[in-house]
Amino acid sequence: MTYEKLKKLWAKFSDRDYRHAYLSSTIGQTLSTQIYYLRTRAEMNQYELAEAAEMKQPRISMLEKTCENVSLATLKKIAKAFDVALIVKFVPFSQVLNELDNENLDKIVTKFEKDKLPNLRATFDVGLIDQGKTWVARITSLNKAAITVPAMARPKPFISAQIAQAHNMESLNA
Amino acid sequence: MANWKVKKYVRENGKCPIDKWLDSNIITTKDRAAFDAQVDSTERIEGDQLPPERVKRYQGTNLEEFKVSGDKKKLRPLCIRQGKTIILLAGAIEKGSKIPKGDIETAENLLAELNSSKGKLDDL
Repeated sequence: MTYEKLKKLWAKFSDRDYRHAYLSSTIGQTLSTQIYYLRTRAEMNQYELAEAAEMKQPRISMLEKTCENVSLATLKKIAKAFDVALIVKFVPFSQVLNELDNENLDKIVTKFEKDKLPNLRATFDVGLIDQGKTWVARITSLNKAAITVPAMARPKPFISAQIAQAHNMESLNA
Repeated sequence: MANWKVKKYVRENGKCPIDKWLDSNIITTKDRAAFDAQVDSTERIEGDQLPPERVKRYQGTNLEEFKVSGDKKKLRPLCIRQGKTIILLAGAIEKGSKIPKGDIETAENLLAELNSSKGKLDDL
């Protein structure tokens, strides 16, 4: 989605009925589209998925048409059948727009057996004080103790004990 | 690979039947939201094959229906596919599991116009 289109959509979201109806349709279409692609990519027919999810085939057919009024229990069964994770949470509307902009509905969802532990990545700011001036170095993709501090930020960086502990590394205050 | 696109047909005289339909009083705010959501979610698909329930051939015509669950009604704007672009021609609402004949004729006439290289395609 282009930024222009996102801006137009955001303007339409000023109408409460519109934004909730839009999201309701988007959730339904996202789920039914994902179920279709998860099933066809796994080379399963609707009967096989129905058996794996302990449902009847007409139910699967219906879910691939619309998931607007689907229960959480049904979605959990489908997630278990495909061995993928299901996330349901409350978020601000802006976060949804961000996802609309970034995520394709037919993107491959990795099953647990092919999934792996993600690298420890983080983005946070490290404060630095140099001759009375305060600098902030933004550090991303931090992997354990591998830290690169920009050249302008010469003095020894400090990282709070809390952050250090969270990332399993030694505090640089010492 | 490029994602699917959904476009509207704009006639040579600058009028757009889809815009007219969307702006008419039969389309409620919730209908419009469902339509927009369907367009946006279609454009979030990259693969060559769309789920069959999204765009379906309408029996006995060269047209397809772009299926949208509206606010207590089935919105079925008529369209065609050109590669990975869906071109919406005219609005329609399913009544008793059929699309009114008049809407099909309108869409067929617009398709003939499009095929004779009249008019243009625009973003929604």
